[in-house]
Order: sequence, then C-alpha cells, then structure tokens
Amino acid sequence: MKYDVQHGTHYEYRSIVPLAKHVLRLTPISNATQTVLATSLSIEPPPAERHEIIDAFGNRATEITIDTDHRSLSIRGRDSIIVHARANVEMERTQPWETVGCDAMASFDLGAHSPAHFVFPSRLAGPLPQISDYARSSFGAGQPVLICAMDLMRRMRQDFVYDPAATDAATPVGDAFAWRRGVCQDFAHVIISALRAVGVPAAYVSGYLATSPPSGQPRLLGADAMHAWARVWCGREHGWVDLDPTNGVVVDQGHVTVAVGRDFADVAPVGGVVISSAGHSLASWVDVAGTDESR
Amino acid sequence: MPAPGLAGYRPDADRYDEMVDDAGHVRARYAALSPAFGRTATAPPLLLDEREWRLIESGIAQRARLLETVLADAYGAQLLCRDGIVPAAALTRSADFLRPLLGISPAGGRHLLVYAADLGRDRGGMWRVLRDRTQAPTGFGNTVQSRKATLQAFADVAVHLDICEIEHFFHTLNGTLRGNGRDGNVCVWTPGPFSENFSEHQMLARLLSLRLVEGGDLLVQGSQLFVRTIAGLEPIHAVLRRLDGDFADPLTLNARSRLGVPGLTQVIRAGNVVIANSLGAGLAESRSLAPYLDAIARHLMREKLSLQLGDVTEAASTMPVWDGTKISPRPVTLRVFAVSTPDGWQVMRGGVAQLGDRSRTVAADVWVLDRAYRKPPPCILAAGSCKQLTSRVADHLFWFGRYFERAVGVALVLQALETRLVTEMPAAGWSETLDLAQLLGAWGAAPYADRRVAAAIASSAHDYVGSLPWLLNAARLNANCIAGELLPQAVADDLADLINAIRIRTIEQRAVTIDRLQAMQVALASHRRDDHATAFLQIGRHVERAIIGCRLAERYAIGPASQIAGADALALEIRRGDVQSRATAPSSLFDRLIGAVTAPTSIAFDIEVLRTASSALPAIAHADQDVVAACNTTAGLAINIIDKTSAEALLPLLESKLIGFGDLVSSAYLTRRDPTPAVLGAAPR
Repeated sequence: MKYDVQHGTHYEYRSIVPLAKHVLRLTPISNATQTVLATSLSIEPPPAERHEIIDAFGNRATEITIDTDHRSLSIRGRDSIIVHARANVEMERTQPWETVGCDAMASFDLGAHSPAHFVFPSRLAGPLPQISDYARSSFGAGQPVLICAMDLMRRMRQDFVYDPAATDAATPVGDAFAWRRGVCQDFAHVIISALRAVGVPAAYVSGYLATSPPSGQPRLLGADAMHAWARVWCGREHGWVDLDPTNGVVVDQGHVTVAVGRDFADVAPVGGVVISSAGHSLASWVDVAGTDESR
Repeated sequence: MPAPGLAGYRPDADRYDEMVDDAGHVRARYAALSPAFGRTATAPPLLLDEREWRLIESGIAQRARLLETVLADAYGAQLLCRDGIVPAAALTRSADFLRPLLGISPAGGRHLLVYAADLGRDRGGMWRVLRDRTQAPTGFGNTVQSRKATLQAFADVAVHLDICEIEHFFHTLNGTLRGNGRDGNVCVWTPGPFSENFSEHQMLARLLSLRLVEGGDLLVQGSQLFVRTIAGLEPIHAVLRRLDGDFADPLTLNARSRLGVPGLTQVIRAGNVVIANSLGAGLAESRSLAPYLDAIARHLMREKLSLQLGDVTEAASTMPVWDGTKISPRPVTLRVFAVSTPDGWQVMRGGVAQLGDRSRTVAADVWVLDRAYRKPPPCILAAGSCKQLTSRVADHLFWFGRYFERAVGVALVLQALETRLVTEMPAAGWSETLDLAQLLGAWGAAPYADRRVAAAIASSAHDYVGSLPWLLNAARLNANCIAGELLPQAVADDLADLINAIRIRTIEQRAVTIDRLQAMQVALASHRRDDHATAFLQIGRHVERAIIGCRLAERYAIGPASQIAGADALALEIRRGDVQSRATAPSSLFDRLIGAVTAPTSIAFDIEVLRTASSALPAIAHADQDVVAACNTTAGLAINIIDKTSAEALLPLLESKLIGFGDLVSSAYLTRRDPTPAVLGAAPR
C-alpha cells in the first residue's frame, strides 16, 4: 500500500512563551516493512536552531529551539510512504515463551532493535503485580510465544473498553489497567507491561492508521489521530511481530510506523520544555490516504 | 561517665575487629589511640597502616581505570558485548544506561573524573569492594571538616602519629575540573536545598572555590552552556555534577525532571562542556554489571583485579563504639575517593568510615599512617576569579530581605494589638485595637475581621498567605538556599525556631519573637561578604521598609488617625528603626516617619540606603542606569514631601514608585524563571 500522510499539531499558549525547546518524533524512516519516498516537516514560528538526529532506537528526531516570543506553535508534516506486506508468521512454530525470554537475556546484541533493550521495565511500562497476574494465564508452560501473546491480546479485547475520555497522555499504566479503559497508548502500555512481566521483550510503536480502510475491511479505532501499538519479540528466528491490541489485530499493511521505543516517553511526537506561566491547549489531526499499488 | 579506654571490650568472636586482635590485644597501630577511646563524643578515627593502605590505593586506582574503560566501551565501540564478554542485558538492565549519550565521547576524553568505593573487610581481614560509586560520589565534601574535628579531639595522640593529609586531594580535583591550567569556568551542580546532601554540596563549593548552581541557573544557547548571573550570561566549561545523570536534561532524558538543563545533551554532543562524571557514568556502579568486572579486566586490560568484590551483608569488620553507657562492636565500612589526573588516578589518603548498621550510623575520620609520607607543600586553592552572583542567589537575597522586613512589620503590629487586647475594654468607634486590626487586614496579614480573630490568624495561621508564620516561612525558604557564605547560618536556623515557637501566643512570647527578629537584623547588618550580595539584601529589606513606611505615614501622619491623641506613640511603637543605627531622633512624628534622613524610622533613611546599594550594582546594558534613575526618582519625591498637603499628594505616588523600583531591580538582575518541563503531545489514540 502507498500512503499519503498529512498531519498537523497546533498549540495555543495562554501566556507568551519566550523560549521553547522541543524534540519532535514525527518523521518516519525506511525499514524492512516500509519505504519512505518523501517527508516534510514545517514549523511555525520558525525555529532558531534545528538539528536532525537518529536516536538510540533508530528513530529520526528533530531537535528545535524557538527563542522568540510566541503564543502558538504549529507543526505540519506530509509523508509519502509505501508499506510492504509482511511475511506471515506461523504462530505455532514460534519458540516457547520461556526460551524467548532466556534468549533475550543472553543476547550479546546492543543494536537499536536488540531485544535486550525491551525486556526490562521502562518509565511508563513498569512491572506491576496485578498486570503480571493478568498476563500469567495466557502463558502456559512451553507454549509458542506468539500463540500466548495473541491470547493475551484477545483477552484484552474482551476485558478492556476503548474510551478516549477515561485517560490522557500522562495516565499511568496501572490506572488504565485498573479501570480496564483507555486509548491505544494505554492498551499498548498494558500489553507491553504484561509481556515484560513474563520476560518476553516488548516495544512501543507510534504511527498512523489508514483513515479509510481497504474495501471490505472495518474502519479501525484510532485512525483520526496518531496511533500506537506494541511489538513483541518472538525469538531469534522470527524476530519482532507487531500487534495492535486496541484493534486486536496483527499489524500488516494498514499501519505506518513512525517511531519505536520502550514506551511513549521514548517516542513522544512532541516533547520538550517551554517557559510559560500558564497552560496550553492542543489540537491535532491526521489524514492518511491510501492507494493500493497492486491495482 | 567517661569510657574506661578499651577495658571490658569484647569484639564478636567470628569477625575481624579493627582495634583488638583475636587474642584480645590492642593492635599495634591503635596503641597510641586506645587509651583516648571514649574520651570525647567524637568517634575515634579508623587507622590504616602504610602496608594496608598501599594495597587499597593501588586496588582503587586499578578499579577506577577499569570502570573508565567499561564506560568508554559501553557508550562507544561496545566490544564487550561484541566479543561475548558481557551480555547486552547486563547494560540494558541498568536505569543509568543513558541511551541518548551513546556514541558521544566526552569532552576531555574521560567519563570518570571522580570515583569512590565502599570497602569492607572479610572475615580474614582482607578489604573487599562492596559498592562502586561512579554516578556522583558523595562524602568527600565533609572530609576536611571531619579531619579538623577529629584532629582536635585527639590532638595529644595525633602529634605522635604520621598522618597523611587530605587537602591535596581537593587541589588535584580543582586542577582536573579547571582543565589542568586552562582555568575554565567550573561550577558545582546541586539538585537544590531539599537534597539530603545539600550542605555537603555547599561545603564542596566552598572548599574548591567554585560556584554552586542549580539547574535553573544554567541554560543552553547554540550548543554552549551558560550560567545566569546578575551581570549577564557567563559560559561554563566544566560541571561537578551532584545529581543523577537521568535528571540532567529533560529534553533527551527524563522529561519529568525539573532539576535539569534542557539541551545539555546537545552541548555534550558538541564537546563544549566537561561533565564530571559524564551523564551515563552511573552505569559503571550498577549491580548488574559488577559480576562481570573480573572478566572485563582480564579481557580489556589483561589484568587481574586486586580488590575483589565482597558481599555487603557478610564483609564488615567491627570497631568499638562507646554510646555513653557501654562499649560494643559495630560493623564498619570504609569509603575511599579517587580523582583522575593526567598522570593517572590519585587516591585521597583518608576517607570516611561508617560505623553501625543501616539504622544508626556514625561517621568517623580515616587516618592513613605512613612513616615515609612526605607532606606535600601547602597548596592554596586558586580563589575563583571574581565570580558574579548567580541571578538565583541574588533573587533569594532580595526576597529574603523583603519577606523578612514584612514579617518584622507584621510582628510589631501584632505585638501592639495583642498587648492592648489584654487591657482594653471593648468600645464603639475608633480604638487603637480596631485600627491595628484594620492595619493587619490592609497588609494582607489577616482578613478584615474581629480584632481577636484577626490577631489569631495573623499570628498563627501558617497557611494564610501574608500571616506572620507564612512570611517567616517564606523568608526561611529563601534563607535556606543561601545560608552559609552569604547569609549567617544562625539567621536561617533562628527563623526555623521562631516558626516552631510561634504557636505559643503569649505577650511574653511575642516580645521574645520581636527581640529575636531585631537580633537577626543586627546579625544581617554586620554580615558582609560580597558587595553585590549585601546590595541585593539591602535593597530587598529597605524597599519593603520604605513601602511599609509610606503606608504608616499615610495612616498616622496625615490620615484620620493622625488627629487622635496617642497616634504618635502608636505609630512609633510599630515603626522601629534598624536597631544598629539609632541616631538623634527628631521630635516630630512627620519627620521621624518621612523626611529626616538621620532617623532610621524614616522613609528618607530607607531611600538613602537604596541609593547607596543601587550604585553598587554591576553594570549591565543600560539596566543599571535605569535602576539608579528609578531610585533617584523615589528620592526626589521623598524630598518634596514637606508638609501634610504635599504628603497627601505624593505619598501614594512614592509608594507606587518604590514598588516599581523593586520590580525593575528584579527584572534587570534577577529574572531567571525556570523553564517548566511540559510533557506535550497529544495522547495517541
């Protein structure tokens, strides 16, 4: 599938902001599952400083400094991306989850996608006894890891309610779990915490969903804003497999990847620091138009 | 009851005791010291002879070299993982493996500039490493003071011993931080006064003659680190970091940190600042890595570690501790410190001994005894080249002055009110108590309410903004940040005392409060360290006093109350001068409150102080001229107040000009508002 992604983020500040420093993770990069044809990111007011870096997880980050008085910040972007079909993983053939955990701990790989980065608790996806208990019943002894992870996702679909009013960007994973409610960020943090609780490496992915689904398929939740899902490591042979717990599906050509990290804190689309004496309001939108290349 | 030397001391049978051997004899190195045991409250020092010390010294230097190598590899080539020596998880498990620092080699080429290790003896008496300290090793800031106290307590013993001195360590550290001769601008970075080690940070800054800064004092512009001072931005070349690396930059590390400097990582990436120790150096002390250090030493350095890892729970020798009634063995651990130099690691010939278990510990000095030790020539630490105050420190001085004087003003009104409430019969119409209660309301110290209610709130409602305890606490919070060098520590301590005592609401107690506040005024007036610091404190105090003066003059010299008999006496009861300078008092209330420069109760007196202080402020791009001009404006107004008519016209204007002057000083020199880390970004859906 080829996608034309357009997105906008707009902040209104309630007081004049004399200085702001931001890190933006809004630009997708090419990898095994997608080829980025073109990207652009425009920022208003224009930053005094702008650096592009590749972070430790291989994401593209734009560091900006705005040192003129401003009352609003607008970020707009447009990306053209081809998302490739993913190889079908035979779930039954994946390694037992215990082996996967041991392999992650024994790995000598420190690269950006090494499972070793994603097996331990992180700031926003820590180990909680209640989430650990919840996870256990999906992980029968010796079961293939992806079968277990799929079962976990299926149970979450049953037990959790998608509710944009219940949580916000700062809701701790324990709260979202206790309420059994939230948005994609919460779903992702819960399943990541659950997977790590049994020793299986899990990562957080931010990205986009096609606004209009391919014909014959239902429109997915989370298509009108930035989306998030999880990535589970299935052992040396099968590597990473993306699961979208909000929609209960294995990720394929309908998802555009923007950034990968241990949790939301690693991939926040707009992070940073502003000097401000009052609060702010925020509006953002996304439009992801897909064209099937095969036609 | 004095302790009887070591008589009756029975160490545990299965542990090594520092002072007494298995046969119950005092060890040779303690022969001179043991008779003095228990004589003073100061714990006796831990003694190490030269043979034992050399083993520790070389072991520590070797370990420091190893950990430097580990950090350089973990943040650089990562051969340890590639070669299969250390599994990746041993690094990634540590919360101090800071990924944004990957691939950046630190300015100056070193991750570790200071290193500390906690040591304990095993049962066989061998020293073992219990814990490496690479994040921001603490404890060495207090060693000089502790050495001084211990030498004093055991002076008669010390003269017979060859004790290695420790000051040289700080000389070396200073050289290392200043870039060995390049005289860079260096600061000590503290998380702030709430940090449990804040007093050590202050001590360290003083010992090294370095500026003590908080994150809010620092800022990044164009890949360069700066400190905000009252004379503008100064570039910073090196930082002795006293907070965890993860908190150092909310932009790339912990976004929730309010202690960090946004963009610091960028300065580090550009190689423009030395951070001691590097952000990410905490990795080297992580428990997940410790088990691999032996293998790493063999692989990377082709060496065997001479100091082996020990178990915290098992490895500890004992020292006798006299608790006033009995003498008993307590476990002891030893912390030693090392500093990196161009010629390798230099280990401080001393350290800190911790006596006791987790619940109760006593720190003791450590004496290294070495007959061959030659005292190095006395070193004079380079005094910092005329360092400007940071804007934050000046801000604390200014606001301390303002809150303190406002508290004095409210305390005097309260005292007058409370004294009269005891004797006065309730009466309709104007009364002194009604007037004083209204005054408390007008100043925001209490709501406009019944006299007794107003007095109760103004005197003891801690959370009522503007009440006496609230003002004292606001002054105290500012004082805590600057106590020591720039403000007498006694003032900060006294304020804390007063706040505690304030709920006792008796007439006698109020008089005590006032006496103590006035004693503080005297202490403040006589404590002069830095001309600029004095100026900001004076400006804060006398702006507040002058504003209070205007309000009192409007009320008692020209307002309706001025017609009433006794108003004069009342006004002077609640308007007292700086005790220190009681000159000949003019007779009329008008002069005493407003115009007489010689009367310390007058507005003119306060404005004269402001003029002197303003002219002492540093020059900064026209702002200093504006400040002096604003001050002269207030002086001009004050001179023109010569009678009731001019007072009625000009007093309100003078008050607003004084407020404006305070704001101008604040915006010209003190503005340093900390950036608020805002976790932005819509929640993904």
